[in-house]
Amino acid sequence: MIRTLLLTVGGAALAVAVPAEAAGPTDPQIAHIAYTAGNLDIEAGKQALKISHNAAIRRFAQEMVRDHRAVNDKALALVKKLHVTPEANATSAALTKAAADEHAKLAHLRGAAFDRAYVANEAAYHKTVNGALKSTLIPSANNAELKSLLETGLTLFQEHQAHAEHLAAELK
Amino acid sequence: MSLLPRRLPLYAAVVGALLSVAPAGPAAAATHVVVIDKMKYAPVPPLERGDVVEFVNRDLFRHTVTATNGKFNLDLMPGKSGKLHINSAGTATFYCTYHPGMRAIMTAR
Repeated sequence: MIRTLLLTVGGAALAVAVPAEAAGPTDPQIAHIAYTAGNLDIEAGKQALKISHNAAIRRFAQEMVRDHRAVNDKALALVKKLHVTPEANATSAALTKAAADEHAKLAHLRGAAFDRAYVANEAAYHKTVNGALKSTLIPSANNAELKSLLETGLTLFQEHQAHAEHLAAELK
Repeated sequence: MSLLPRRLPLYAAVVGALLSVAPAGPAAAATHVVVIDKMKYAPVPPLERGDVVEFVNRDLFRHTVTATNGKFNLDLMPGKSGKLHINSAGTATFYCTYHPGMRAIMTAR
């Protein structure tokens, strides 16, 4: 039996297999997924800062870069302290592939078209990651400090999702 | 009614409109530390006029303490703190401009 973690990023559904013998992803896998998810959003924010001239979009992108960098710095310090080596896995790979596709798509856009596409993807991306955090990553985390960091991350990313949805509504 | 800054050049100016109350005799001022952590403000205890509220940002993230009426604003990087001096009675609601879901209230009498 295979447990499947379903993620939808940028409209594409990603089915991620989790080993049947495990109750869920391991802490090293969770750390890798969380770090990867944050890093991908930092890159998306940097892309927005290169392309967008909209002040609200730029503030949002700066917030994404700043907040996700803070979480990832903490995550790196935590795995070092716990002597955990983040483990690459299918979920991280699927997130990375979807983000690369989205990055390429956004790279062709300019002006309001870029702004709308960027915030729409940010809302969808955070919704996906938040769903995975809530349903799989947080319940599966064994280490209390890792679980606590993921819970703080979930609260933060829910704020980001709400912010992105608000911006998306304003740009319509 | 107002929350006015005192001797705090590093902090944002604070002039918040609160509910009006009758003047009261001077009370011993207290300093209340309110920690910001894990995307939340700790509850602000009941305040008296003359008290000081020191917000300490122990979170990983930059946060603000911003009056919903725009009358005061503290912008706090991680590890930093800022103070509000309570010069009048009433209630003020505040939030974080970066994370608007973070909201809290303080009341002074």
